[in-house]
Amino acid sequence: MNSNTLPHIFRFIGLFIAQVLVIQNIEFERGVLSYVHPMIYPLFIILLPIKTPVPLVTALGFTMGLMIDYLYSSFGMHAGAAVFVAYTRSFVLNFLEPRGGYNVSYSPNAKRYSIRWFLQYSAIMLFLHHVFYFSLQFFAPVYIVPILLNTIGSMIVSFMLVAFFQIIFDPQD
Amino acid sequence: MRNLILYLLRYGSFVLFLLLEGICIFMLVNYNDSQKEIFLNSSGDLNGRVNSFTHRVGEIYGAHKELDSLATVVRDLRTQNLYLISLLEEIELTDTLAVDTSFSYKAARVIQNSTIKSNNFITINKGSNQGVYPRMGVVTDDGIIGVVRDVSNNFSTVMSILHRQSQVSCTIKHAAFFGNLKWTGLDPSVVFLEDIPKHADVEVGDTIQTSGYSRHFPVGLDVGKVQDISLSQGSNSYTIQVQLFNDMNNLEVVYVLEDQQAEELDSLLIIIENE
Repeated sequence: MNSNTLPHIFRFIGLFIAQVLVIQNIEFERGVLSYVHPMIYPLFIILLPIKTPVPLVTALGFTMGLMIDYLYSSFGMHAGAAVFVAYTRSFVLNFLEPRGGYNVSYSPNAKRYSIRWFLQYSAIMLFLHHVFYFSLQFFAPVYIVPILLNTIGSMIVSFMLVAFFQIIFDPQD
Repeated sequence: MRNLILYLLRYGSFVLFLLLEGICIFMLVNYNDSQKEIFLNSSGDLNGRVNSFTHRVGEIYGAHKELDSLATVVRDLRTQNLYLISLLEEIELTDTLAVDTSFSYKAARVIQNSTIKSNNFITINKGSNQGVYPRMGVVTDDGIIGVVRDVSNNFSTVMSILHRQSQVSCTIKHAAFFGNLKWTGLDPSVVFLEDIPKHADVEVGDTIQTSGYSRHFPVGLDVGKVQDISLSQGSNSYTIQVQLFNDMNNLEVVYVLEDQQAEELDSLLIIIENE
């Protein structure tokens, strides 16, 4: 437990509280807005250092998702999506590897690599997370249209929130 | 053993992923109603399909055994049937249930049959010794067959409907129109009813019955079903294609009809002709 992991612990707790205490209570009922269900806790997984071993990332994702599930009363939906995103993080990072390679002790943030790269990376991760989450929520391929609508609606807001986070907090290593 | 551990280490993260994801889905299906329903529904459906497939495979296997026992049963029934027919042949039946009570039935067995010639005959095993005379009608349970042509002591030839000179007067059930049932010599399953006027109300599927006007057959015997109705140009009557109810290729037991009132009617006709 050194100063390197401290920011991550803060992010864990902070994003968790923000998600369950603030965002959970923002509920829209009518029209287009009913498809908006923002989720920002994947940011915790996104910002983990690159060198974290994949099993650990997966386990951390599971823990985060499980705790959120407990307070959302959704028993497995968030945990499932979080585990999925945590596992595929390594593939996404491989795919997006910048030309100079990664400096693996640092987290993939905008200061190290360009903000454009960070937005690409977080967009992909958020998209994967949301699709998986809503697929678990509806659980049947016949509901493909609601799944897509929810994904797109929520993605927009989640992505905006991630951008705000970037601007406000400007995460370092 | 060492290789197993190496494999586990290499794919460890994937295994962990599967494990955790499995736990999530397990929780999801167990504790959430809508997911549980969808899961149980599709797994039940899959279960049902697999079960019906294996059941059908088992059925086919069991059917072979059933076939053997069924063949024995059929053989026993056939022998019994032939014995009963031979009993019937000793008895003359009077048909008290039919509309026309002046006909009596005599059972006979077909010994020779043909349907593919242009003029077909059937031979039966009753003759003048058993009281069969020419111009008696011959029927089966399903419909009419023909008229007795020649008799010998113990056998008779019957001119089948499938004979180009055969002519039976028939009506359409529920209609007052009657016409002649004839055969053109071409298709053994189809005969034609002619002389039905074109203002008659006929439809495909109507039943054709004997009219009783030719005294070979009583009134009201089913003959066949209307299969097609056509009107040739410039004619006033329909040509109706009739599908016979009985299968002319499969004749075994037939009944020879004796008209009790034939003598009386014949004597009347002679008086009319002589006037």
